[in-house]
Amino acid sequence: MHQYQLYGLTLASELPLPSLQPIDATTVDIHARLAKVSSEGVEEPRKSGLFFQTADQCLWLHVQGIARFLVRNGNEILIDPEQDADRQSICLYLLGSCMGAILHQRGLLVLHANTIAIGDKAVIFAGPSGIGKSTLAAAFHQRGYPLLTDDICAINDQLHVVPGLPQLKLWPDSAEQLNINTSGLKRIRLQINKYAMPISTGFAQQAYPLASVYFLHSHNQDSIRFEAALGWECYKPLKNNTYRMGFNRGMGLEPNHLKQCSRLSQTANMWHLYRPKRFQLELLLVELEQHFQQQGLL
Amino acid sequence: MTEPSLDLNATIKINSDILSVDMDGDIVAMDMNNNQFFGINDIGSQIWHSLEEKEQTLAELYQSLIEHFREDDPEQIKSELTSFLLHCQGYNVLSIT
Repeated sequence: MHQYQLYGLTLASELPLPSLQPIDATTVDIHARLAKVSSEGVEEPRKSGLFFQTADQCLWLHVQGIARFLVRNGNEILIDPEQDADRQSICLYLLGSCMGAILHQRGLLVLHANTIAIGDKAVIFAGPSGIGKSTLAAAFHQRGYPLLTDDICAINDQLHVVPGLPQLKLWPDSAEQLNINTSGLKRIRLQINKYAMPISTGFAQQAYPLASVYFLHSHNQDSIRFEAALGWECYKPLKNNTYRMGFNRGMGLEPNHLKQCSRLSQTANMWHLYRPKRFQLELLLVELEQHFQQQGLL
Repeated sequence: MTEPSLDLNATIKINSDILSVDMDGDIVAMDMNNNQFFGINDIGSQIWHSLEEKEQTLAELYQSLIEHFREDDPEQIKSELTSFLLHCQGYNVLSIT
């Protein structure tokens, strides 16, 4: 078994996970092992589709050409690889969808977001793929702010963001903007031209209390605009930016999710950040740092 | 046009399948049967908080609202209350019996 630490939990995996640093753990929170997984899905599913099915504390996932997965009770991931499946893709789903489901099952609030530490607080960038979450996180990381999470952001009961995977997934043009040479980096899936950049220094070693959430959007203007997300209206963007909300709902966890959003809304400041269609990194960084200062984070 | 009116003795209560939480000072109510959610603010929040404490008649609810919003026109309050309740009833969030 290979042991790793992620999201404040220890994972013992039968498959080696090259993107993570091996550790020696005394206790194990999650076991990932190779096993037969039914091709039919789960018994008495709450939600059933061709590619994923859910029951209480259980997710069944079929990724064609890669593997079938069964994720249950917040502590177990079964992996049934398909013939000639590419190992790297299996790991990608293991650390993505499967780990996301584990975090949902363990009762964390899981957002599709990147997180950096500003001072002693966590700041989250959420939004659709391609909006610039990872690029922003990478740029702040380059400026010396610790990285907390890439892609999957988990928030615990104390409303702290726990450190995720020590990597950043970047598109080639983002890497270019940040002057990162991609020639030595692994593509995260053979067919997707996105690169995983390992983060060896400047990765957060502990959970940080959440201060602010930015929901990123693009608009048809040249300037950057911040708009506070207030009152009941902050629920919708939280829900829309929840990582695999369909898994959460399918496992019957939506009431818990609503309560988590409620708690978060009482603590964190939330903002919609509208940026010009053309991504201007420098401009965004300057405006965001000013915004952090206004909130007393810097 | 006459406004829809409700019987002052009607009992108003939040349906049992509704989960409601505070959301940054407002309320989000979710129907657990279909996961549809509703944002409630302003006078609606006040009405909701009263009903969360206990089911009550329209007359009681009205009375507590005019005490709470002393500055406002009672007729205006009545009209907003009626419209809020009918709206919620339409979505099966409240029952009026």
